[in-house]
Amino acid sequence: MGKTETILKVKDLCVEFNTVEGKVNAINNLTYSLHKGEKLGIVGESGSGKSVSSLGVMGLIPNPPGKIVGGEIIYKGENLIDKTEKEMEKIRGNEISMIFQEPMTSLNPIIKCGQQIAESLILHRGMKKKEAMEEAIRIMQLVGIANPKARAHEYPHQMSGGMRQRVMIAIALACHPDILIADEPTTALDVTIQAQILDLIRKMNKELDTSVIFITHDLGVVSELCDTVIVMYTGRIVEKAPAKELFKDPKHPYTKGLLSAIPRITKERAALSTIEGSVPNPTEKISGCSFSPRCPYATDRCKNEEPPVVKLDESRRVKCFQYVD
Amino acid sequence: MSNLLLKAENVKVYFKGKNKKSGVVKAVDDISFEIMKGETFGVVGESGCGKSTLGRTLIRLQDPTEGHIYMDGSDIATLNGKDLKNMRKKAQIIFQDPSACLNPRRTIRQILEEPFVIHGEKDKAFVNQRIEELIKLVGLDTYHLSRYPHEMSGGQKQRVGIARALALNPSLIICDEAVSALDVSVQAQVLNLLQELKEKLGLTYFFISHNLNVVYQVSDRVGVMYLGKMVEIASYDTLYEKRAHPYTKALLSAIPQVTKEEREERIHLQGEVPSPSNPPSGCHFHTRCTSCTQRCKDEEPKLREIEPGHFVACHLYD
Repeated sequence: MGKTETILKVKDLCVEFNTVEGKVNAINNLTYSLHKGEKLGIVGESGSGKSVSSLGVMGLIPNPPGKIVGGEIIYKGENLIDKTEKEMEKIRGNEISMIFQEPMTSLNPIIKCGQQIAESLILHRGMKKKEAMEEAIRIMQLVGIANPKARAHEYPHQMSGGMRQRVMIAIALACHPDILIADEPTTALDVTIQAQILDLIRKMNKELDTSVIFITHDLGVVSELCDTVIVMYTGRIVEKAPAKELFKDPKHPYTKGLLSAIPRITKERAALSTIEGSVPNPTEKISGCSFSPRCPYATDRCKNEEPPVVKLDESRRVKCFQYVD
Repeated sequence: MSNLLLKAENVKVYFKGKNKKSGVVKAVDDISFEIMKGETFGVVGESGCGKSTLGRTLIRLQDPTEGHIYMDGSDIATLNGKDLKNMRKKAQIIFQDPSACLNPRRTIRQILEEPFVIHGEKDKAFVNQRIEELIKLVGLDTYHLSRYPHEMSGGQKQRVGIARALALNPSLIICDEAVSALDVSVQAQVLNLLQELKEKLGLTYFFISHNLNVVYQVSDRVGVMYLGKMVEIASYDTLYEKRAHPYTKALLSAIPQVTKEEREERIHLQGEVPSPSNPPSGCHFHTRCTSCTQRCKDEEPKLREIEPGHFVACHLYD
């Protein structure tokens, strides 16, 4: 793929949360870049920091308790971390927008859906109310809402989960953002509706050339939708690879374990292989590789030293001692 | 597996609305099926199809509006008082959210003691011994007994939920989305545990999930539900090779799969599941079906056996 233009660059991002039980390093030295038109998937189990990484880009980490303690987020040559709240407001929803898991909690229950879409147009594009409303209806049509004129005057509770998620996507795409961050957008939906929403995101990515960061715990979804995949564990990227290669030939022991733990629909059934133990408590300090307590290949070195990020080829990175040298 | 464990006959569960206008929701509408001893009967369907209501009805957490549920010679649907309590020894349930179904103010030991207290077991030594057995059976250790639920991880809590369900040696366990709230790596551990326990203790599962991959992994036979109806019942192999109902086909093709080889040609379903309070006429699925005919709109298809052990409710197979 000839997508070379880098649109977003995250470098050594570290995020900390202050909790009752002490400091939690939600994200450690996160580094990745997003190209124009690319669909980047971020996968991981709960608590791996996948959501926090995207909230960081949007400048939405609640402070306190959270705080970006290091690194930079470069968008259009500027570091988003240095921006003031006012400046971020101009970017949010306009150049970078986000959709969330549960549309009901992200939509305003007492404002009509059409108005909620028009709001961002009025705010960012300086449109007049009437003009914005017309544009909103056009966008609703685009995201596959049947009879948009009537539905624009409905409230969120009058719509089904799938429709609400379409409204969310319409709001996010209203100003033709460069980047769409989707945080588990299909997790609350049924599979047949999920398939429709994934098709929609794919279509928007193609037609509007919007780059997508897709965050999910569902490896199947990532495999179907994304070009590149980042696998996260305890706030670190353990592996990055083109989707096709990652699922065919996973390198990191965690990715391997994760892939073999998914139940699959195949003719022959076998017991699932599992990863022993569970994700460590984030307040725990782990020396060495954070996966070493669960890793079947762990050596003494893994327990004492943090593994480096190894560059396997142009597009693949893995954080594991097995691939050093 | 020739022994019949449970037989449901024309089970209906209707929920009345607040007033006459709001109508009746037919959550479970005339469903009949059998569960054999030692098998895992999986039930899949999208939200609102009535799969959980059906599961709850089987152990009378929900009273059926009509119909019979036979287990061990008695009709669960009509049991009362003491008989109902005794029945519950034989059938237990594991819920989806382990944090919500464990009392946060009790220790794990107290939680596991409760089934014995309820069913009048007075022998303290026996209960303690049993609790220690149970906790080890589900892969935890005796030191976990003095902990509170909040001190445990999601997977551990679900293990406690399983131990509690096993306390009275039931023969049937309803697993209502038992692994849906768990992360993939932990989900695999719990699924393997359930499989192990089934073999060790000769259990029978009624396994409800919206996740088809999971149902496929554990089930011997699978029932597919849509809007309160059972549209297809088939064995694992049949469903894999010869699934018949258009909804089953669409549902299975909609699951995102990790590898290309497992991915199927996607059948795109238009629209959404209609409201169960006002289901479409005829076949409930006809509004989204790709092979819909006039007959589907007028006449409701009956669940019939198209080959031994394979039941389908669709006019295409008449």
